[in-house]
Amino acid sequence: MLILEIEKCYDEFVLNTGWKADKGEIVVLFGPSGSGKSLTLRAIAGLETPDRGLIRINGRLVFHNQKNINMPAKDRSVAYVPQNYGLFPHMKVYENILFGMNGNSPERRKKKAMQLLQRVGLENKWNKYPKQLSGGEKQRVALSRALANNPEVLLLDEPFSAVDMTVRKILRNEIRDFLAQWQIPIVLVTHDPDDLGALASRVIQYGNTKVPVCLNR
Amino acid sequence: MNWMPVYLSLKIAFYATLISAVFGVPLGWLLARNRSIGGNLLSSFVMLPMVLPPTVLGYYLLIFIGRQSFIGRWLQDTFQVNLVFTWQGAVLAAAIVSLPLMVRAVQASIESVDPNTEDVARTLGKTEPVIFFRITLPLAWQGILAGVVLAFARAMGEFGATLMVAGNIPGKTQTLSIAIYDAVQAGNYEQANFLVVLISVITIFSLWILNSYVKNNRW
Repeated sequence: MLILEIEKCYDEFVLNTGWKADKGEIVVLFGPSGSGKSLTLRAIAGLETPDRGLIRINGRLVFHNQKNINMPAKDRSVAYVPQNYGLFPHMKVYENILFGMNGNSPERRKKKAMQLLQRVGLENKWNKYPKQLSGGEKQRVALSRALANNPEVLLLDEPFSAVDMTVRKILRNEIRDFLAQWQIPIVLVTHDPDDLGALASRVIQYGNTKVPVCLNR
Repeated sequence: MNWMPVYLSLKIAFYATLISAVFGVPLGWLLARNRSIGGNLLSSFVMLPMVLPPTVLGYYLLIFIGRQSFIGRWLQDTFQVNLVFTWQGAVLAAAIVSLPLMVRAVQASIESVDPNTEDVARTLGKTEPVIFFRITLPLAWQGILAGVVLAFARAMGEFGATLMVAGNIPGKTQTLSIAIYDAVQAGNYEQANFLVVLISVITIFSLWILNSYVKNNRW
């Protein structure tokens, strides 16, 4: 379970949000661009530090401003797939996945990486570089890499922004079935209303609670 | 033909490039990732050797490492090292002059690395050194290599600051460009022609190697 209650002041707006996500739930953060959806994801991942509030993952407090807790991103066990997937262009598909795997012997890691690729139907692309893949394939690699370490939360930032409308429909179904296999809280950011009906267990609206001034600054 | 200036120039340029790489790569990284006022100040300071006249730079160096200076005396007393009028002094001059080229190239190439890739690596449990050596550095490698070649070429051609700090001692501190000047002054055009052709060939060759390497290594 993921619980958060955070606030952060920026020059032009204030991010102020609080909600929770249960195991196996897909919480969709929905709203126009610039309303702080991606910033929320980055705060959960530990890539951005809120000014106030708390973030709790499965009972672990990863951020709490009053208790001075701010766990670095590398220790949070949160998987993050950014908008352009963030694949490592200088590594082959299987190297991308291996990079994220910690522990175990090299042979076992390699075996698990190939199993993950099989699961998304990309076992014959293991030796390709990211630039040789289609948008949908890149996304599947990024998802496999993100899940290779059995994270406790999965964060997806605009997962369909890089693919065209027709592919988007197919990918939505694909990703929903795929994500259903992982019983972890999933947070997905989008500004596309079509994503809501297809994917969301719950929708958090962004952008209509703008506070013009940041109070205790 | 006197080959000594060629050998000296190559040796000095080699060590100067090494020094400017050791300092230039972390500096370039720092400047690429730090946009504070301090970063801007540091950036201006690092770029100084590019705009200051080389003789001025050489004069500063003389003041800093000369026997009358604090650093010069300290070097002399603790290590019995005197940098003025030695090839090591020439290395220092060439390293400082070529540092801005190195830093600029590294900074630009690290800025071009998608920060998302580094962020993803963080969420995958990697420490900052691992991210630097396995993500940032490999992705910025071409720019860093370009910086190395440019710094080497600049160090090979160094004249003003070197002359101020190391002087013009044949066989000891007389580098290629100084030897060319010296040969022309003495009316020895045979030696001047030889050295001019040689330095041109070395420079064109290193740029050609760089270009063909970069062309063959794009992902």
